[in-house]
Amino acid sequence: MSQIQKSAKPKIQIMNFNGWQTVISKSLGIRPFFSQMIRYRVANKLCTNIVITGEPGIGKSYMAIDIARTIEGLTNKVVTDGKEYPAGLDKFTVDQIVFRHSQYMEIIIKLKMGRGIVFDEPSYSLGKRDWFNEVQKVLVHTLESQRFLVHPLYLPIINMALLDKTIRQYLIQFQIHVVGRGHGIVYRLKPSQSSEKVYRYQMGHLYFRMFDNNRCKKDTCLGCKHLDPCPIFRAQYERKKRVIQMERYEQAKEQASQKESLDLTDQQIETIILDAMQTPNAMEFKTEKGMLDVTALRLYLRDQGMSISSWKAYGIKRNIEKLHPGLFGQ
Amino acid sequence: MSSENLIGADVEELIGMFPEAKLTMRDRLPISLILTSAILTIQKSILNIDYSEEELREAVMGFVAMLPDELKDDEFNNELDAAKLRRPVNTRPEFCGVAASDEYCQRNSIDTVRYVDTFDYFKVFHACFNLLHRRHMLMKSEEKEIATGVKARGEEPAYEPDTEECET
Repeated sequence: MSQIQKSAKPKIQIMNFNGWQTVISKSLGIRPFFSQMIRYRVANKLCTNIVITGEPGIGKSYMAIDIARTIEGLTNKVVTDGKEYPAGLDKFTVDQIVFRHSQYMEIIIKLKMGRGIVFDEPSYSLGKRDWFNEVQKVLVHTLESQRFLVHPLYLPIINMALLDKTIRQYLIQFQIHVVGRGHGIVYRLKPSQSSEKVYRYQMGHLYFRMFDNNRCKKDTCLGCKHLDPCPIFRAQYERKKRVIQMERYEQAKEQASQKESLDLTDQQIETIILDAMQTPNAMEFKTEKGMLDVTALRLYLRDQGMSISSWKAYGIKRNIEKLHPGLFGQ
Repeated sequence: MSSENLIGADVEELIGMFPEAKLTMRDRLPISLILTSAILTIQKSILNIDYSEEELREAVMGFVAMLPDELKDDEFNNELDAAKLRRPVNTRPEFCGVAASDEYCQRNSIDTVRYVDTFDYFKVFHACFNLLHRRHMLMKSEEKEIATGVKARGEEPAYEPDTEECET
């Protein structure tokens, strides 16, 4: 009987993949299989839509951005029109991260073929709750046809069920389920050609360390006092996101106040108007014929943060004129 | 090549241009079953109470013969070379079941030992297993992609994937 062979240590090394340090070990099955496959699909002009799912705050958006940065790679040193562009800059820019459908449509036209787009928080635009919206229909059609422009699309979202059915069942090729910070499981999605089923095959795992960790050790930009001047990619993203979020909060506030005004009873609104008519500016509510001016009524309510429909305003006008005839007339 | 040249092209050239034009057999031999059976035969020959090196040799070489040449790589050939050994064989004549003495053999110029080239069949078996492992026929390793998140400094060797790796 021959000697038992000692176990050979697996070869593992750090290699340069697209300008990024990547761990490679053939014997352990470690290689940039996903990034390489997406590059292959882009080179062969195949439709590539990727959904990144996971619980809120786990790092879906960061993961989507990091994958996009890896796939697009870094610039080489280029001299164009006398200007020298240094090597090692990200080809993927913060402009390729979009939050609104208008931004998405804009970038899809502007962007060169093969460049990726991260559509952050798409549930605001591609959500199943808004499936009846015209905008939603346009977006679904764009997703269907964007393969002609070959833009890999990354959609970080809490759950795939939040996406429109057509998108989640037929237009998504890959799902990355983020289970921990920087750790995702890749699935290939293949819809059945004869039923509504969608088959999922597990392909492997992604382990993405926090990008630019050699420049900043913090795992989040939230609450960082250096956020505004910070040149790191994730800080640029956070700044862009902050602006959008503030706009969304303002919008939500407005919608909430509108909703609240709709909840007021006609009687409550009548009281508000009658109180306002007791003030010295009461004449503003009357038309030349001495009747209650509906436009003035609605404008006054809008100034108070309440928005009512024209139909409702006319109803209130009728009630006030009937119940308080002394207040009106020439 | 233009369409005019296609008409006069050799069969080999045409196959090179259209690799999909090949014979496809829908029914195939259950190779995994056949290889498993061959491996079990080897195990049986090892554990046989009447252990016979000849039986092991036949079983292992039968297994090696089943491996297609396309599957074999340089590493497999190197491991086979390492498994080669020269074994001394007693060549003394026997008289009534008793081996001739050294003096007798020297006096009659008879070689007492002859060397034969053979293999360490356990090593050959091991080489076959290593080959199957290299060809991803034993275990399916879970694919992992590990990004360090740091830009390369230029000292790292460039990663060049095999073409087959990307065609998923």
